[in-house]
Amino acid sequence: MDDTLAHPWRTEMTVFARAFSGAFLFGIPLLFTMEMWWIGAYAEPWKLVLLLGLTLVANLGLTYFSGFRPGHGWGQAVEQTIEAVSVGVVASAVVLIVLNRISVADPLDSILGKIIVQSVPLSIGASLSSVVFSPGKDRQGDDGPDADYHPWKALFNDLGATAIGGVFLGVSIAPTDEIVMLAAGMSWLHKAALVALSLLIGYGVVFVSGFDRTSMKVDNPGPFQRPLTETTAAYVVSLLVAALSLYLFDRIDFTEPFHSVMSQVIVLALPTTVGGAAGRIAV
Amino acid sequence: MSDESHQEAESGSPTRTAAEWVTLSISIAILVILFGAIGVFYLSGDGENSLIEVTPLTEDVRRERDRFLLPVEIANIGERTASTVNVTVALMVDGEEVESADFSIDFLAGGASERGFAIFTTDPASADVTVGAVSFMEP
Repeated sequence: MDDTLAHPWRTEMTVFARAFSGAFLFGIPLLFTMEMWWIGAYAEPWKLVLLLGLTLVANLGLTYFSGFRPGHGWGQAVEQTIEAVSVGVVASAVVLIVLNRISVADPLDSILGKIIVQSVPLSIGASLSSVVFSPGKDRQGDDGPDADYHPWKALFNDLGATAIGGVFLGVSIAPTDEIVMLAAGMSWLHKAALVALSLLIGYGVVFVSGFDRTSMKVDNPGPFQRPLTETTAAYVVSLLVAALSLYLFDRIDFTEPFHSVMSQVIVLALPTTVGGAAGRIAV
Repeated sequence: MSDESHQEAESGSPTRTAAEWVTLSISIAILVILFGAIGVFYLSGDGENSLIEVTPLTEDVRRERDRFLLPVEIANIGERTASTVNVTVALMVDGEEVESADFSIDFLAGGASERGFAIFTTDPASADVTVGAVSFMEP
């Protein structure tokens, strides 16, 4: 029996995890761009409608040739376009709330503007998710069982890939003023939510999206290949990569108060976690 | 290939599960709400020009070592966004300005407000506080 029909909700969760993963992988740098927040705050309504319309058209083209669900045809493409843009809207709303760029006290037109502007790259990422990462692809690049599997080797492979992916995104965002600006504007509740969101995205990209599941092929995965352990260990690596990137670009130093350093590291750890998760499924 | 899947491949519209209907419906609802809300803002026009209101919160003055921190609420009571909003706060004693502080806000959307702090060596409680927005730009 078709797995979609046997487990419809599980399949749907995987499909949307894949779409959200693609959205975050593609759109995270622009979520950390202050000009994007500002443009959203003052963009005129007709421009927002036009932007949303163009986003729908761009996504229609992408979902016709790619998309994040199986199936082809214009009907499927239209449905996936609507879903991809909605994924972009929800993803941008969640991240902007957690980063304290929007709140219930803000004017509604400003909130909508910021969400719509950010949903453009995020929805395109959702539509491209299956092109960037082939669902079910093994981390080592083949689909057969890994005869050389060893827990420690797998651990170092994963953490190395996490560090490389984290550096890729981290060094492009660490030198910008947005990190200190975001860190200063977030309460500790926001920062706690950001840690939780980073862990959730790291887990979702690797273990729920269906992009990769090496451990499924291994009957007895090592202690570090279990989802929660690997997600947590990868987040610690992402924090270290974020701290190192900020230090090398002179954005933090050890004379600063610890809470200031920690805040900036937590903020940059979201992109480094996303980059690290991409690294783990790409390597 | 089964008959059902063969038909699906030909028609390009596979059987939709209840889960797919739910997610598609939620997605359509999100887009309808977005377009609807923007449409309402578009039809309601550009709105009133930016108008900046500055309020010193003298009852909430905080003392930090030898400095006094006076919170100031800056609100855009107009409907258009203002950028580079410059605010000045001065302490007056017997009609003479004894101390002043300035700060700037990058963006202040219509209806939004921000809070800033003016730092003085003189206790604002012992002086008259005058505040004002001296300039802003249209983004």
